[in-house]
Amino acid sequence: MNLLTNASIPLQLGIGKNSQAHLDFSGGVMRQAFWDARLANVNNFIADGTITAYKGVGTVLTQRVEDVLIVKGLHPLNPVPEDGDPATTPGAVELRWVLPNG
Amino acid sequence: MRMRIVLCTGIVLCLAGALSADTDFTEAVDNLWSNVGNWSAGFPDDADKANFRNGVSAVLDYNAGIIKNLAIEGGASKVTLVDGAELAVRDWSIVGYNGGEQGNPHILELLGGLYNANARLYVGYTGFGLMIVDNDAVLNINAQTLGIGQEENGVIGGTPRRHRESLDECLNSLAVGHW
Repeated sequence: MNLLTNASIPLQLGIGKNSQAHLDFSGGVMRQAFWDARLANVNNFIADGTITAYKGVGTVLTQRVEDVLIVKGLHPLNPVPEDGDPATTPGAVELRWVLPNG
Repeated sequence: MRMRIVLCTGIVLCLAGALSADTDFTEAVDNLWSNVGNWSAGFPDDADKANFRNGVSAVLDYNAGIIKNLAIEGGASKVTLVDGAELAVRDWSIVGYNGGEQGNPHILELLGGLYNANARLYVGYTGFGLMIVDNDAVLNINAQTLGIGQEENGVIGGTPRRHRESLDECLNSLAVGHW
């Protein structure tokens, strides 16, 4: 998702009275030109829970790569379950490795 | 002379009306955007607002060019872009202009293809909206803003969705990717 506009704050979430908004990252990224004000805007939404990752159990990451602000989600598990896996919390999946015979 | 002027004015007004119109996706034939029989006034173009209302579900799988507006409103409806889809909207796009309800929002789902919003894009205006950007789909906001939850009473409560296929609890949300 690319916010290519020159608007100073291109992302407006929940600005209407009584309105609510939510933006969740589960694998994709959002890109926009880096401005300090834009980073502060995103960080505010992360802090108040409006922007989440993996339905709230992951971590939202912001990165500056040259002049681009990137926002994406970090999965809570390592290794990361396959895309589409419904597991959401540590302990929900047991991973095993079996050595070959011989 | 007076009659001629009046007649010319009438023709101009008729042409203006023909050139700029709303067209509703009716799902009269099937759910394909590409089937002109599904549109009340022909395919939308850069002078037209494409309306999706009353529970219709539309699938776009080709380059539909430029339209003026995209409005998903009234009874909860859904527009899905899949691989090969391209759409540019030169004025506003609104998912949930009005209507929809808690647990049953309007949906704009990008599962593939390219959506160019050349003006503002709202998810939830006075209605309930959900937007999903998934797989290799690309959403470009080329001008103005991306707004989620815009107007009073646009949403009542709401929590993050748990599974993509379960839309309960989805209110004025935008989901990027899935797992």
